[in-house]
Amino acid sequence: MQVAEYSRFSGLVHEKYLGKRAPVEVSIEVTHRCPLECLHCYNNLPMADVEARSSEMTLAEHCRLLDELRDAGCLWVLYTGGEIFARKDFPDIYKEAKKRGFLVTLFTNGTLITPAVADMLAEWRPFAIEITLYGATQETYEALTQIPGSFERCMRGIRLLQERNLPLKLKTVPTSVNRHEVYEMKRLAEEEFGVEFKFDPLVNPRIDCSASPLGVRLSPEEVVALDYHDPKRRAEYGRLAAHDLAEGAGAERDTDHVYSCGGGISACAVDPTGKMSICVISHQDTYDWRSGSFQDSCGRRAPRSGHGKHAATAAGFSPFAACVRLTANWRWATLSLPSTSCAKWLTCALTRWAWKFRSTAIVPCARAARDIRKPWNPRNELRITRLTSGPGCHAPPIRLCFQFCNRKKGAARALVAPAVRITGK
Amino acid sequence: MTEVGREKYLRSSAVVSRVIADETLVVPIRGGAGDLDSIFSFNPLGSDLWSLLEKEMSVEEMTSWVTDHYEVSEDQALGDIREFVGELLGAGLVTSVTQSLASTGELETVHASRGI
Repeated sequence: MQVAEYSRFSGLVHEKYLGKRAPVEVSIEVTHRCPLECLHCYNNLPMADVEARSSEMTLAEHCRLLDELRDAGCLWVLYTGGEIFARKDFPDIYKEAKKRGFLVTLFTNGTLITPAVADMLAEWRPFAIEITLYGATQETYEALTQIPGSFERCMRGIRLLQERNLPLKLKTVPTSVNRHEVYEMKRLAEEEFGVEFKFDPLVNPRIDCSASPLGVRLSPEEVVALDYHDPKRRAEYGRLAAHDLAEGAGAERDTDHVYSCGGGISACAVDPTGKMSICVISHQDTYDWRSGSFQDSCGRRAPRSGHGKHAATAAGFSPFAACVRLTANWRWATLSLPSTSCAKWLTCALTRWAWKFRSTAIVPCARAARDIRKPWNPRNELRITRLTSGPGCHAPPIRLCFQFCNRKKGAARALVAPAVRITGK
Repeated sequence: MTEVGREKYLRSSAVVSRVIADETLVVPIRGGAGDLDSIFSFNPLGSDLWSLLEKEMSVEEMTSWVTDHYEVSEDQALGDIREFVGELLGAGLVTSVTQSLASTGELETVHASRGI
């Protein structure tokens, strides 16, 4: 049987839906309740929160949602929280998704994984499981989670999944509490558990508008320093910077479009109460699925549609801007750098941040030595901005403003064999 | 490739098929479906054959259907379908009906219900 790489298959599907309002990827938050109390979390609620529990979608509602998603052509479902296993009936919800043929990814902290849960997952193997580590040591882990014993429970969960050879990946959110252990976590994951590891320093304010997570968020300088510790990431900076600094690379990027990510177009999110939004972070202009249907939601104006084209064009790049909640404090920052000749370096830094949004950064860099940072629009969405240098002095501050571009989807070839095994995800 | 006999074949109950972006995808969903880390895609002919396998179907019956709907010789179709079904068997996407029922202990029950 002919074998095709998963990435090619994924590219083919996305290519076919490009520009169409077809939700191939849906994130479903089954609960916001969680046994941990992580300082950086944007949505967690206590396990015993009666109001939160009583407002969560029932198993029957999840089944109806899954039916509608299947009928609408959704393939990838991500279950996240809160902590997904905080719901006793999550295994039932999960199995219903599997029975409908979705490729299901699970985000969990691992602390509630028991042998029974691990056995269930071995039988109903997920597409992927990602566990977030909060530290490489108990002291650091529990300093962030604020729950004694949580480190050991997480390690147990990892071992239970690993023993069953499940498709596990580990990751972390570097914060001011655990940044010194990020590379020890990487070593732990890769050498002791033999699984992939990644980190993403994106920390958002809470969806209830509290800014408390920002208290542990790393500064841009710290993020870059962390990235530069990894030769692979450093090399990626260079490669992308070279691409973005190439002559004419930014020609088609000057546009006022706000969104060109898949949010609200090829992807969307559903919160525990059935409120649909373009992603788990954006909670503006939600649609109450409980009072309607997924099909009905697709017929409505996308929350973002008034601000430009719906999707990246197949021809290449178009700008991407994250909602203000993501980047409110990062719309500009000042770095102490020796001169504007550091522009390339800064481009790399921006590239890294854009990478978090699955995008490539584009920055015409300090060639434009004027501040063209645009004001926020009334909807408080990030507008296109540029990297500029400050007024001339020997060590001018460099102002970082952001512009993001989606990477062109990789061309996918047609699958011509009668049957093709798609593997290697 | 798994050898294909004269018995009938049926889709495994441990896989689900979806049509995504005009492609028929077969997704193994639980243990017993072969490689759970792979998904499978069919071209239009493969999709037709997969549709036939929703019911118990022998290679000969599938061949007959294909020669009725495509301009292809019976020998050519038979060979190709044997190969196709062999690949599906090897990947755990279909089961031989006899094997399937025997392995689950349902053979006698099913036969009785059919009046055999």
